[in-house]
Amino acid sequence: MRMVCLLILHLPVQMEQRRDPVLAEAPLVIGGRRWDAGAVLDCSIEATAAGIEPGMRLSQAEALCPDARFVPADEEAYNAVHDILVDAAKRFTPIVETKSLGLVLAEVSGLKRRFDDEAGLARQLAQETTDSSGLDVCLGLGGTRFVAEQAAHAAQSGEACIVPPDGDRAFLFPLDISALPLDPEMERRLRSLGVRTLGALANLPRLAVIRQFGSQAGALYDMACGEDDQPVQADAPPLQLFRSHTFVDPVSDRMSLLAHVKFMTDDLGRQLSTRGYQAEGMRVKVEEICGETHTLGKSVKPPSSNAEQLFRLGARMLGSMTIGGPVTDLSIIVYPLRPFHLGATQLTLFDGASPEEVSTFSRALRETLRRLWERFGELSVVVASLIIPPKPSPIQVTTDRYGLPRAIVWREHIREVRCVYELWRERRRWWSQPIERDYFRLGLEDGQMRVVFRDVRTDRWLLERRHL
Amino acid sequence: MVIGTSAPLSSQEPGRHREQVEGRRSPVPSYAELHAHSSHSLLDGVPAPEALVARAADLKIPVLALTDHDALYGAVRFAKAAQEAGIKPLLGAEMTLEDDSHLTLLIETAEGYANLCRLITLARRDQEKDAAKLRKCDLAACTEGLIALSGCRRGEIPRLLIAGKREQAMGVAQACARIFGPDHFFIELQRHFRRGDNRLMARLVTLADRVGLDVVATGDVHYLHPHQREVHDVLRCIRHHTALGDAGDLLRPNDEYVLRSPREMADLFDDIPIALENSLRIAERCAPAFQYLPAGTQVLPQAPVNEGDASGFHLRWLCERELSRRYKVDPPVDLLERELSVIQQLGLANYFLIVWDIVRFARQTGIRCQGRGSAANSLVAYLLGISPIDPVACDLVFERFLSPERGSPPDIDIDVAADRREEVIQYVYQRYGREHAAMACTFVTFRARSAVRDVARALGFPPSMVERLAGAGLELLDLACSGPVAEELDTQATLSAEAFQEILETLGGERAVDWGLSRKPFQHLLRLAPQLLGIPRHLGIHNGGMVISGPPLCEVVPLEPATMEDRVVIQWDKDSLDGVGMVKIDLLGLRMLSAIENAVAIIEGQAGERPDLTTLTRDDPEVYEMLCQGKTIGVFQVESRAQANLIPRFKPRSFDDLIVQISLIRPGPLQAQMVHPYLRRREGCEPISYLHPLLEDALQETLGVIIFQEQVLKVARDLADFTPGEAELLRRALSHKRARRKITGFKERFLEGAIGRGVDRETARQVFEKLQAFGGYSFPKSHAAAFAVLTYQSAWLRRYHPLAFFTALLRHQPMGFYPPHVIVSEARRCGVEVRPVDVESSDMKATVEGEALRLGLAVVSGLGETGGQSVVEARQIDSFRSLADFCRRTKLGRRAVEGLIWAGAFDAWGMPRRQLLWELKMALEAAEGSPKLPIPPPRGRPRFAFLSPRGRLWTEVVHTGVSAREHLTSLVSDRLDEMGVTPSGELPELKNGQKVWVGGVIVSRQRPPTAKGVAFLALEDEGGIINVVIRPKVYEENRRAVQSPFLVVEGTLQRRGKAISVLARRVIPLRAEPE
Repeated sequence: MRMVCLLILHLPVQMEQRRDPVLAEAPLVIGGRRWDAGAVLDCSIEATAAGIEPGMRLSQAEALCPDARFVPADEEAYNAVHDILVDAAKRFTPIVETKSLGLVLAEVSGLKRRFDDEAGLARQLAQETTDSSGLDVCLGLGGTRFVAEQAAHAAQSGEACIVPPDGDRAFLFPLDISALPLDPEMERRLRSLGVRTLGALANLPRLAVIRQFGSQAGALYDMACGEDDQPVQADAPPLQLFRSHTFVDPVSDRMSLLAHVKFMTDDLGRQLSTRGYQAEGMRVKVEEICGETHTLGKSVKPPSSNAEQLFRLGARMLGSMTIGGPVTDLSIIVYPLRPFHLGATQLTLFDGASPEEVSTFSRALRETLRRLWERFGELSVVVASLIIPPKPSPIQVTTDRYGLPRAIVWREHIREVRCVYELWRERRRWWSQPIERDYFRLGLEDGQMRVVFRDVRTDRWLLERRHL
Repeated sequence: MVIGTSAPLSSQEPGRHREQVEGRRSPVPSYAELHAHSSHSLLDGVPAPEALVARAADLKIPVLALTDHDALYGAVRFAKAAQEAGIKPLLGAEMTLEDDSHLTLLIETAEGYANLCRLITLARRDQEKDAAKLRKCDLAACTEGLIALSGCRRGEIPRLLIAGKREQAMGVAQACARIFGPDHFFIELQRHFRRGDNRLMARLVTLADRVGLDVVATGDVHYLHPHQREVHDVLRCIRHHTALGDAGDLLRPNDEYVLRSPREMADLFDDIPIALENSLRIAERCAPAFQYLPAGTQVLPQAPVNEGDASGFHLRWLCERELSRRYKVDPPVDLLERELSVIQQLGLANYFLIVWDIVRFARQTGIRCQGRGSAANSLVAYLLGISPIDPVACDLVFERFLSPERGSPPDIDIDVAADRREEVIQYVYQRYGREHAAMACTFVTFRARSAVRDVARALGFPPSMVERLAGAGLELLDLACSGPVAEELDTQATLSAEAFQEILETLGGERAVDWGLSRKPFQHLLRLAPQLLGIPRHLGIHNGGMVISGPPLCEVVPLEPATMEDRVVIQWDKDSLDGVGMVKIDLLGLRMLSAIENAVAIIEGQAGERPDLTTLTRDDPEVYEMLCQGKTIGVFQVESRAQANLIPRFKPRSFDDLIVQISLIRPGPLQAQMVHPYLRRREGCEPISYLHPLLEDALQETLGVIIFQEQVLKVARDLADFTPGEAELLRRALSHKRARRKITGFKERFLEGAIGRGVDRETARQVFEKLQAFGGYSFPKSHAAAFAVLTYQSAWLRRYHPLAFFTALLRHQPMGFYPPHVIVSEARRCGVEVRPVDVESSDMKATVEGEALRLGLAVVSGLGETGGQSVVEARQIDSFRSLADFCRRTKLGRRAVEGLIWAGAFDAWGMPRRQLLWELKMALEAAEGSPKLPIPPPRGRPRFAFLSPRGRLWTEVVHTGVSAREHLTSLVSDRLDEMGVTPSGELPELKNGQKVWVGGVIVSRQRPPTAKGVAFLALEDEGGIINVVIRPKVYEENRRAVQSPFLVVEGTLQRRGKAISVLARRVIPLRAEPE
């Protein structure tokens, strides 16, 4: 078997540095701003030298390399480039597997006759992928997935490293054991035993290695020997769910067909809910005993995993089909699927709770929200803002020489102040948007009670308004 | 009773508010502030007690009460400041009750003071740090002599009224009136312009009327000026670990909690004038603080004396008995008489006997201890065995320790073997009872770093940035206090782009866009952080200061539990204790004493005879010769690099020389530039001269320069005619940074005195300037002498018993200046055989094995004390038969056993370390199973070879930090050879100024603040230690390289006598490879 590995080393870093060349001047970390709670997606070689590695918390990365530049990840753009890579590979072979961002494996055993030699294949593949992605692609070719991947890492930027069919072991043995996907503890123990290269590992008895490090070590051992036989798994097609039923006794009764639609949409709805997806479209396919098929597709609006909604849609589609004879096969497909939270629903918290209870819970609620936002992003929970008090309205106030309100002009009427019941002062939020107000609770001549305040910073008078 | 109503502020008739503005005011309003918090309401008050008093004086407030939260932390400072400012100081506390409500208590009489102390103690008992909860039943039992006010908005009565529970509030008011008595319980009224204040006030007044209680106005002061509200908000956030944006109701809604003048209060309570009058009535009834604070009236428990003897008589008997024993010829009877008379006059005989008793206990139980500090000036202390120094022989001045003029009591500091200090503390608790003894507290105040860190957190800076800011704390505060940035902060303008850039550069050249922050938060940070400096942040335990009392301590000063188990602290720190004249005994742990005792025990075990170090004559030339050769590693006080550099020039030859040498490397002599003149005079390169002949007597012993604290006293006495007590006060003033005003007074007195003795003004001024530069940052001779005893003893042990000495040093790490690997190397250089860790031989700590030193299991990282103990215990039953046997019996985990394997602890079994490591998996599995099951022979196991010598050394160093057989530089020896590095042993043969390459392992890196950016490195190779001096520019260029554990330095050789150092030009880091 011959496998090829296409690798855009540090794809996000390359992209960001291409966008802003200034970023090439310092160690670069991609994943978020330095104080964000997330993890490192990728980092430049200089940052790696400082000990930063993908997956590490951003704060940890900041501690290791305070001089690094931190850039939020633009995953959409990175995925687009990755897709270009996949598409380029697919022009050569249908068996293409995405291993990670910027790393693609493809099986090329079947291309022997199309190219004169492997070098020609590699050259053309590298050329096409580099041209279409616009980034430097490294290419590795070898007898196993692992060999191909290591060859790609060994290749110069934009070039290919081809391991000859009988040269896997010779290529692998000098490599450091960190090339293997070892867990840190196993790597530590191997190093302490003096096992630093794949060759040194391969020289140990296989059974002893398994006994020492567990059954997982067997597969790693085989990889080190260039003997792993895992094939390239072609990427799965776009995710969809479908249910079908073949009637042993063809059915002509519509009610019976509807009952089956109900059963199938219930099952699909359950599956969707379990996986956390919603369907955006649905297709019903009916095959008659004569071989004629009827297919109808409709979009699900709004996208849903609700079985009842799916059933109503399915029933409607079934009703609109002109089915002549008994039906032998019924299929329902829901597609394409999307994450659940796009159709989030609004919840009412503390429904029916008293103001005191709400006040007790509010601190806990704030903390809960903070954690949710921190973990799932700012859009995971949106706080309803329906209860904002009415804004204070500007008002004219005449004061006496001591600064106490004497009359107010409101709704084009002058109202005299009969008495000032209370005066209080608010000086808040000096650290962000300072509030400096002098409030007056006034008794007006018409017997009404009003609260007005003077904004000390702008020297404006406003009327405090309350909910009705 | 005349009380106000809840009438509106204005009405159609001329309102009260209008009247107040129009100036229909009482002619001379007066008011006593009975509710004020200082910075000692930890993280809830801004002003220092002194600042509070000063502001009150400015506002002409005649009486001021300090009512910190559940504490009397600031009572002494407050009372002292108020007394000086002519304000009547009242004390009290705002108590937190069990339902979290507040109640203000004021002390009316001395009995009330004792009761408040007891109540605070009860409230703090069994609570977490900083928390207090007073049970109502406890409160009811201790109300005598106290006046209670109903409290702020968090008081139980206001809280009930705000909640609309009027009947319940009335019930509480009646209950309080019953408990305290109707004349001793007042309804507290406060106006802070908060929403609902009027309503609450009306309800409080109505309630007072219905229950028949009086009302009183208070300010609930938390800061002095409205702008300090910001500091207060930040403090609240720090207390509650939150940011300003999240603090919500934790912050008060406005800035009205200031100290108001009587006029302002009269205006505020114009409708209830009786509330102000009552404040004066209460103030009149309450005794001023200085009437009940201890003020030198501390009653100590009775020390053990012969039956029927008075303390003074017993002390005299003890001293006289010892005098004849210690002074066979010409006993200093007069001096003893003088000292006893002063001790008697100050009532300190009992105190001396208590200290003597503690020292006696320690000696009897084999705990090495000795007095340090100024107590060594006392003949009585010497005779009682407290101090090892003969003050007559050393010509020490008793007044430095004790004099009638001194306003504060003496401290006797006792160094106790660190490993057994707890036994001595527990003895004190046991002897005098836990109610009568406690530790003094310390207030941990905000410093540059903590202030910046906490303010940044409160302002909501991201956590990673908070640390960056804190790291640059000092530089940021410098920016905030001087230069253009400071000016911009002062003017309250928005920071300019240039100023902002300067701040970012201080943080290491950050780009603002990288942080995504605006200038405003930085502006707040730089404005607020300096204002926090000096404010107490939290409470700590004093190093060793114990306070003992005859009556229960909780009646003298409130007590509270410390975070350390079984420890109780009093609410006063050292300065407060000084202020009220309470004596404390400092029991300080000193590891060197433990090491000396250990070494003596080892010698006894080897030779069968215990050397008595107290009988050493301290004049052995061999010992001094060793020191002169710079062989000082491990020797107390003279092992540092600065001392090691000094010794070849200084060449100590007597005990007096040692005293001087210890005292020379101190900030005082260094800053006053006394060290080099002294050395030049000692070497005969410079004539001995005095600024005035009158100084000759005082400075003769130190060749005309000031080295000891006592010499300040002598100079003041001889030149300016100061009395001994006055001279001591001058010395204290000189040693206090903030005592400039005092110093000015002393300067005048000094100049006048000197002129009076015929000294010209200019000379007198010069001498005084010298004294000022010298400051107080130096050892008193007595202290240096006490330390020199340990220096000599440790040097003697090193010279004659190096095996015992180095073993003992290793047993008490960390101690001194050097890490263990340096001590091990030095031991090897002294001919001591060092053996590695061995599971069959090593104890937990280093031991003597025949004529060799065996490293202890404690050096193995990851093993821990429990792990080490389990090895020792398992081995005592039987020796280990196999790795599986070892794992089964010790129950150690993989990491611990791996550490032992790498440390070479199994080398004696003759198996390669990696082989053992491979077998470990099986051994651990076997250890988990039944011991009776046979272990199947491993099939197809790989074979591992022995490690190379460098591999062995590498793993030992990585897992123990030391190497028994080889020096650490062996790991880089090939690189050192390649680079042509000169070994340390060959440096003496090179010429001054010669270019040289030196290299080795870093032993120490120092960049003292007094060195103006110069860094000092100590490199060690197999032959010894090399001193490297790095100038600031070179240091900046090689900043990263200097952090490497192994270095090569290119530089120039510098010689001063026999002292050799290398002036670095370039530093090259070396990377050590395992194999």
